Amino acid sequence: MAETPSELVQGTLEMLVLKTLALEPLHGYGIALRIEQISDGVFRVNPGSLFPALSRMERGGRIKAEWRATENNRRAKYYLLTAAGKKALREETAQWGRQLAAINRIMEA
Amino acid sequence: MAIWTSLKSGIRALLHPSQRNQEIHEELEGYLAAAVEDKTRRGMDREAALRETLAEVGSAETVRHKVWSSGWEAAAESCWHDVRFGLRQLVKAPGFSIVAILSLALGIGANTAIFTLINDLLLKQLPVSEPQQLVSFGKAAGGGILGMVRPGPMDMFSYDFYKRLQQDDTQQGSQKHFQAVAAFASFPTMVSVRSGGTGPATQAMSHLVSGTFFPMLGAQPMLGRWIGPQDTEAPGRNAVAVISHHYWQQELASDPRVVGRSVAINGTLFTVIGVMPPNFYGVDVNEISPDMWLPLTMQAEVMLQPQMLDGSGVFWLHMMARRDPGTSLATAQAWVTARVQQDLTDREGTQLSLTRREEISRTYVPFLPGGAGISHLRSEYQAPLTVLMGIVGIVLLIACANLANFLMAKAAAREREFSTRLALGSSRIRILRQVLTETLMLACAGGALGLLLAFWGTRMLIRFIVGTETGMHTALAATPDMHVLVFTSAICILTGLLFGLGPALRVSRTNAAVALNANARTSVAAGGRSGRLLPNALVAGQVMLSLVLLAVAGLLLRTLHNLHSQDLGFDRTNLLMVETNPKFAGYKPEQLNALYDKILNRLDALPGVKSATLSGGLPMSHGNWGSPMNIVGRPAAPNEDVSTLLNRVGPDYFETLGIPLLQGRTIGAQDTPTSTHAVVVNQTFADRYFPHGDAVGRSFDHVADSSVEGTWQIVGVVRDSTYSHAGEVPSPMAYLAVEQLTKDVHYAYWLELRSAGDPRAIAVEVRTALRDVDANLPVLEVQTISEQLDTLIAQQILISQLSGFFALLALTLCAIGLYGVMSYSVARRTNEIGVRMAMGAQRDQVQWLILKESLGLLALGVLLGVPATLGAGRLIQAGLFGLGPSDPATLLGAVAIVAAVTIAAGYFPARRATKVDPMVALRYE
Repeated sequence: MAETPSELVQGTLEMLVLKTLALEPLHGYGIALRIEQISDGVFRVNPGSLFPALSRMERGGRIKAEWRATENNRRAKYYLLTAAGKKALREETAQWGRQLAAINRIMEA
Repeated sequence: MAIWTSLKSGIRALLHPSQRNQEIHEELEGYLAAAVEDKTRRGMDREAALRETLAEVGSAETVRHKVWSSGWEAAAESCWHDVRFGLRQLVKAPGFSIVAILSLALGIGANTAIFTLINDLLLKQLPVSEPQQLVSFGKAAGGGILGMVRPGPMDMFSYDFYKRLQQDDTQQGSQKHFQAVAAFASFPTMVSVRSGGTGPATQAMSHLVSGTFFPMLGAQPMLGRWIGPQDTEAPGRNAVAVISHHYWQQELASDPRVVGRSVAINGTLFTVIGVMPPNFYGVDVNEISPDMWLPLTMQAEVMLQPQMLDGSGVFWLHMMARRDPGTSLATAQAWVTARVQQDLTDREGTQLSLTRREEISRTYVPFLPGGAGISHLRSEYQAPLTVLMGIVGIVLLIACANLANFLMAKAAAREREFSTRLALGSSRIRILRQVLTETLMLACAGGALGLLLAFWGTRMLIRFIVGTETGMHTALAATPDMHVLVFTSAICILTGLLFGLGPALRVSRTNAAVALNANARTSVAAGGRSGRLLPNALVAGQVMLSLVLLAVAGLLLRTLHNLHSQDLGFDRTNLLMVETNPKFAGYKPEQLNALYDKILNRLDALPGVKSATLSGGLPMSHGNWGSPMNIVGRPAAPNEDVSTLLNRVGPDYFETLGIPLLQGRTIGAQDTPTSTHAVVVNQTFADRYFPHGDAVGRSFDHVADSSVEGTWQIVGVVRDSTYSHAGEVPSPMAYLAVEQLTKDVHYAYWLELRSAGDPRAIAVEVRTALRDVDANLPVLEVQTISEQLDTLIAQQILISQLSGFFALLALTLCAIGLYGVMSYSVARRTNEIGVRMAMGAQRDQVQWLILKESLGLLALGVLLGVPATLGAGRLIQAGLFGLGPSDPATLLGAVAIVAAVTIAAGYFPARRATKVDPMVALRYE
């Protein structure tokens, strides 16, 4: 991990979590690991940011939680995407795309 | 959906915190284990993996706290903590809390009480559909029967005018100006009611309304149906009645089958066709709301008077209409004004003088919003209530200033606590929030208690305004409605923020270093001069406001005194007034003289009665009978106003009332129906029409009120007295001999008795005597003359007594405030005083040092207060009688009282300052 981890905006973190869970249900550490791996170490999420975000999203009805057994037969809280979460992911992806294009235009102008 | 889940899980978290923590803990443990495993799988050894994971995760407690804060329950919990902390603080200082809550309760309660009255009289909309569409024709504040209308705004109409207007507007093809037009009597009529046609007779208040009244209002009855157009087609035909809810409950025992029952009203059998819901009271907001509504076409039977429904040219109805949204107000108003002018022109016949034509063109009908109903009470009490609202607002400000000072002192005492908390990392906002929570709690506690006080106070006020008439229902209600509750809550929050501002400012200025060194024996540590600026300014402001209130109260109370001691032209000691109504006992005019003789003989025989008489109207009242007449041998000049006040009196009237006779003789037993019609006039009448002093022997006739027939000869002249209100310009007055009148004006309704001792003592005997004469004669009212006069100046009594009460309250609060601020200042300056005394200051020098400050505040308050008082006096100038707004005696008196109280309040802390023992003070830690 050569580069120092960057700050993640709170709203973006929620979007990344939704995307991660769109592939398969994961527990807390699994989500953090997946995000770190796919971003090639740019984003490292610590529990102090992840768990409050997960709690907010659960309250908002975008994800729901289940206690399941892991590969090692441990009990862990797995998070799944709800229908509302899928819809939110679609909307936020579209909005993110628009914002990104706009920023690019400004930067290249 | 999301809000619901959020709410549920938040509540669960609040109620079962340990379970929540357990879950988070378990999840965190799992996270740790998974992280360690993952690292070891990638090649780290277990120890290193564990260390690195722990470093990444950080403190478990922090994570737990962050998850907890992400939900709304965190904010809720900290608010709850603030509330509990605030409660503990208040309980720890019970004396202060009680005084604070009490003064707030009085201030907020007073404001709420006055606002409830203002809401009832001025703001409340009628309980009908879409009240904002209703308009009233003219102000309609007074009622009566007029023979003609004066140029200018018009609000009294005749029955045939209403009928034609209403018919024309509903014609097909012409543009509709209104959705509906209604007319109703401009005064309620008291009727004698016998339930079921037999049984004892009781009295009720009735209101005559047109068939379009209820449909226009859209007020559905609770039972049965309303009076509709089909009930008002022809006079005397439909004897139906709609009764009010309280009458149904009290007099008819809430009979569920009341619809269809018969009641005898003034001897005529009426059928009850409907009962109105409890919140309906008609369109008049007055002391008395009607017990029943009757069709206009039954006027003769209900009023026991000749018919006024034909083209007789009497103006006695008010009118209201529901606007059509498609027509503009101006168009409708212009149309009605044109119709009125046309009607007046047609009435006068063919020959119309130019001046008359010009007068008619100046007559118009203004449209006023009718959604709040019409009310004479409103115009009487509007000014006093506004003044009172200002007064109680000032009282609340004074109470708030006290609380601000006290809370600032408390906050100053807690500065060490604030500094410590700031040093430990709390945000200023958090401390501010806690201080404001405390002040809001005080305000809400004061507000809740204030609501209770206001309810009780409003009931007393309404009882005062309405008078002591038993059995009569009023539209004014003491129970607060939504407007009042919103008002009270707003005031609570505003006052809480207002006096919380002081301590909040203090908190925001807290400098940790200075505060933690507060033990230094410097005057800066005691807050310094600047620290005393705000409290001193507030106290000076309180002194100024108290001075204003005292002066205003003084002016109003002296006005009341002047009114009470005003010479009214008759002797008002030991006079009893009794109201009765021979019509209710079924007497015909021919039988009246015999009845009068019997009554007067019986009353004169009573031991406690020095003399007795009767009359058609009271010697002094707001309503008056009057009309123009023609003086024989002295034709009226063009445009001369020859209307005169009239009254009809029995023998010994002037002797009983103590009105001195100036010329000729008074009305006596020799004035019988067969002798020449005798009339006594007052000095103003005699001087105006007979300036050479030869009034006695002259006559007049054609009293335009055609019920007074014949020619009347003046037999005497009496001194002027007051007929309507104190200080009025005297009007000409003619007293006709009642026994010589005929038909409707033959009836007399008032008995006046002069008693040897206390008039109240003979009341019972008088009732018995009347019952002996005729058991059917109702005794409607028994009052002493002072009681009757007091009802005429009711709003003056109300405003002066209340302003006096509130002025004293304000002064007390001001004294408490000054005492508190001075005491606190002395306590804080104990070290400084100790040093001074150790350096050689004498006790009286120290006393003067402290007292100087009080006197300075007093001087500043008086300096600011005098111009403010003069300004306030100018505002209430219209309500004063017998003295001007800048009356020096009242002002000096107010200044003296304020000075005395202020000096007394400042004296005791100053004395306490002298008791300071320098040795103890210097050792004070």
